[in-house]
Amino acid sequence: MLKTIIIHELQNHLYNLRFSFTLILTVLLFSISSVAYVIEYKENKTMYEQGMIKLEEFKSDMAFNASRFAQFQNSLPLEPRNSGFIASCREESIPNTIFYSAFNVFGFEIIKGSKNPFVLPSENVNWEFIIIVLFSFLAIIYTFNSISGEKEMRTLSLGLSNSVSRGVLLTGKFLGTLMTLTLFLILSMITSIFILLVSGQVMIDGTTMAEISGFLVLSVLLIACMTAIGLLSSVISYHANTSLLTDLLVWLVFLFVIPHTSLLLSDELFPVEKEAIINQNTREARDATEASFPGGKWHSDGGNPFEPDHEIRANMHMAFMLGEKKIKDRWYQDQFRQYTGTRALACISPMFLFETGDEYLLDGGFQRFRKNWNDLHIYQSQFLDWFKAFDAKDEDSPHWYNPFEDYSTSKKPIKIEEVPVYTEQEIPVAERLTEGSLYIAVLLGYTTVLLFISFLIFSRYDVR
Amino acid sequence: MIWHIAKKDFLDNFTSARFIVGFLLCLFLIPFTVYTGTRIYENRVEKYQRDLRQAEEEFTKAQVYAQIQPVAVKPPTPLSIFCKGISEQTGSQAVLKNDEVPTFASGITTMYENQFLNRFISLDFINILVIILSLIGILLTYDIFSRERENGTLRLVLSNRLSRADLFFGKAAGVLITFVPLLLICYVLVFIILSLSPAVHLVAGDYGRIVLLFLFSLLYLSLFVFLGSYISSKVRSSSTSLIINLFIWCILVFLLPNAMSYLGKNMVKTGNYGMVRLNMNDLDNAFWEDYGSIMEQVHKEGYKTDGYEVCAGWNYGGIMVCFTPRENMECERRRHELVFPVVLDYADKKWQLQRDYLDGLYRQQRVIKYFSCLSPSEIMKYVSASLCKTGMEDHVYFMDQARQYRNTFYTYYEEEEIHGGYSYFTPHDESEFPEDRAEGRRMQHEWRQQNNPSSTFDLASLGYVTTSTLPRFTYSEKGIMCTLLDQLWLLAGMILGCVVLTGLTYRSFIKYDIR
Repeated sequence: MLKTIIIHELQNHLYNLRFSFTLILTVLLFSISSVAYVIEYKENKTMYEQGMIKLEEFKSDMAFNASRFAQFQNSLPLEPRNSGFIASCREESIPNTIFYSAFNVFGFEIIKGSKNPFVLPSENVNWEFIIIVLFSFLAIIYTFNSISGEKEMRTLSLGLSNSVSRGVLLTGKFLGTLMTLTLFLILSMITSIFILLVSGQVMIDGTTMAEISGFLVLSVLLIACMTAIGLLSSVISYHANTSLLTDLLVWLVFLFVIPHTSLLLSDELFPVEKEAIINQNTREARDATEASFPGGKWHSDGGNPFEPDHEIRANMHMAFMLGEKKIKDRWYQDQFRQYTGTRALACISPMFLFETGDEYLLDGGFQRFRKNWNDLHIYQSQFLDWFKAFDAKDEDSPHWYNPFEDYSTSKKPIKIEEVPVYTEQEIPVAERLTEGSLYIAVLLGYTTVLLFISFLIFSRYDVR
Repeated sequence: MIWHIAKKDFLDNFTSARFIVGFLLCLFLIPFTVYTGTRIYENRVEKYQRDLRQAEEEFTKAQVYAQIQPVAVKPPTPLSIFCKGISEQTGSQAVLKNDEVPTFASGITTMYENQFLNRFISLDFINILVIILSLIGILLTYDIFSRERENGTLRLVLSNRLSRADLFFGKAAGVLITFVPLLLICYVLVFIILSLSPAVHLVAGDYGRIVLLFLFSLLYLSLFVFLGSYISSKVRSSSTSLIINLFIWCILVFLLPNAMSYLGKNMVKTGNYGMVRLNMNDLDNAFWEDYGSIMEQVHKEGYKTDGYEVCAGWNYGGIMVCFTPRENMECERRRHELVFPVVLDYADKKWQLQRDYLDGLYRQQRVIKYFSCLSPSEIMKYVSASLCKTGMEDHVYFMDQARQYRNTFYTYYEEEEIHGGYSYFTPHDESEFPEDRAEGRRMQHEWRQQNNPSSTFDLASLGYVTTSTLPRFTYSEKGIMCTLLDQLWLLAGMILGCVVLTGLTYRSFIKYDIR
């Protein structure tokens, strides 16, 4: 019987005006997104590679002096992701460049030019966006009248007069809608992948395929959740229009109100010190450090590395850097905490759960930033060890480490190929899924609970 | 008769569940959003006052002319509470250094300093109007004709001596009138919250802009009202009308603007700012080569130097030299005299690269604007940003003024030959220069004994330079007429859209099969 109902539901959708319209719309949107992504990816990749070449040239120029090389504040821009067509994880809006030298990982920023500041804020139309906005909307449009609509048309009582249980009917409607939308999704994804493959710009390897599969599973989960919401509103109302109004309200609440409200509450619930206070604390710490050092701290003699004042000067500069690092690192940790706290709050919305699940799955956005941030700290200590080892071999150096000046450490040229290189580590997809399993489980739980409530209510639904 | 129909529909709509739910959603979202917007505006005002003070101190606390780096500061507008526009992406001050023309403004004040929070959706008052009110507009009109037909009341009404035109205009007026109190309440709510903030001071011009914003909001809603009515007049079933309307709403408000913006962004390339910076570094390297030649020339002319006794600041930037022997000071003066014009020249060369990059950004913005203005919601956002002085035009206007002022300022230095004088880099009078290092050290020691400075580089007691004759920056904002002219084509497009939709709906309703 379940099979019959599912087939009936599929036919219902198939012959409906909504079907052809939706199919054209989804395929069109996926195609636009793929074409735009191909252009974007090609450009970003080229710009990234040009930038890295230029940066390497700059570092080679710097290699004439080991101290200058170690002190040079490098920037680590994150490479464009191959899986960006699935979801950008808003990497262009959050910090995407980390600054470091051999002595410190200084901080991060959103690199200027990541996006055009003169354009009104908008979203990248990638697969994730289409699922969140369009498919979630379609899920409610396809289900709002599943029960209440049939009741209005009096086909519900007729259907239930046959030997079909209410549970089976509801399951059939749920699966019918889910299958229809999954069909749209798969067709659209195939079109998109075809465009990407034809372009020859985006490499679709085993990892990408695994990411696509994971994304498909997550998307089906979100669609299932929104379908369950549509069904629930349909069983709690006796008129299709009331059901639709409820659905739209819930959709808007999940899409905008919850993330927006979480943001508004972030400062109250997870307070972070203001930048002005941090800067003031840094200045005060610097002044206190300077005052604690004896005279000669600003004296220098470029011709004599062993000038005793250089040791005071080096120690003072090191103390400046460590003092600032202590204050800033604590502030950065608070910012990370504020973000994760706000994100947890926004995860009341299934759309946001889906986005967060994607972030883990694709190893993008904040997850990617944190991974690089932590890895870069490990790399920085390796870089410093290398520099100290190099400096130790230089008899002309007094080995007084100054993070900003080269008066008292080796000025000998280095071989750039001997310097440790930072490379971003790729996390296996299975590990990413494990890390994001909490969000996937919650989304699944959400759907199950909504369906269960729908069953409970529908079992007492007055079909007359 | 039109009035009777309008009144009846107004009362029907006003008490309908869809209207009340939408209204309650607005009442929940608007105070929250406006309150937060007000808080950020207060932060901006505080920051503006701080920046203004610092910009003033550049002049009042300058001990030498080389230290003066004028800063152009743009005052925040309270209208940003209504519509943020691009105000959270662009800064409010431009530091006007001699070695670089500013590409972007600095000092961005965002709602949240934590940049990771950019990942979340942040709405403003206009965003809420754009989404919620357009939805209410659709929901109130999708069945404006079809429901009456389904109920059989349309036939009944038209069996009286009532023309279809009267019925059409009566119904349309009824829905439009419903929105007036709703919009008024929303705007009054904003005013109440604004009036609670001591930092918000609206001037006459601002009120004029708010009135225009209100009228434009009505125009925007009218478009959705007529769209809903048109579809209702084209289909026989309310359910079909609702589905079509909602699809169109979703496409116009969410999909089309983002898709067009994304497409536009990728169609017009802007280049990489990182590359621009690296190419500017190449010019900096070329400058240092020229600088080396200048120093050779200075030495050839017989000037000599063996360093400074006390030096604060950077090579050709805000440098200040004290207690240094006369011979070194003369060399320093000659160095600045020759280097300063070269610094300005290289800034101009760098500006060519920056301007090309900026032109790319402007071009991309224009294309995205043209593309995304296929959606009325984007037109609403662009016009609102312009009316609220948070659009691109106002920002570019400010930056152009800042760059113009930079030219005026440094041209004044050149014309008055300030860079060729001792007061450019030292607070000492020429007659006070020590003859040798020993005398310089003694002078410094005596000065420190007498004045007891708080730190090594606290040189305040050496005095300040006179800056009253130097040009100052004053910001003049765009007038309301100028704003309107900028957005005239968008306004005209919206009005035309409304007129066309009204005409189409009227025509369709005249032919509507009421059976």
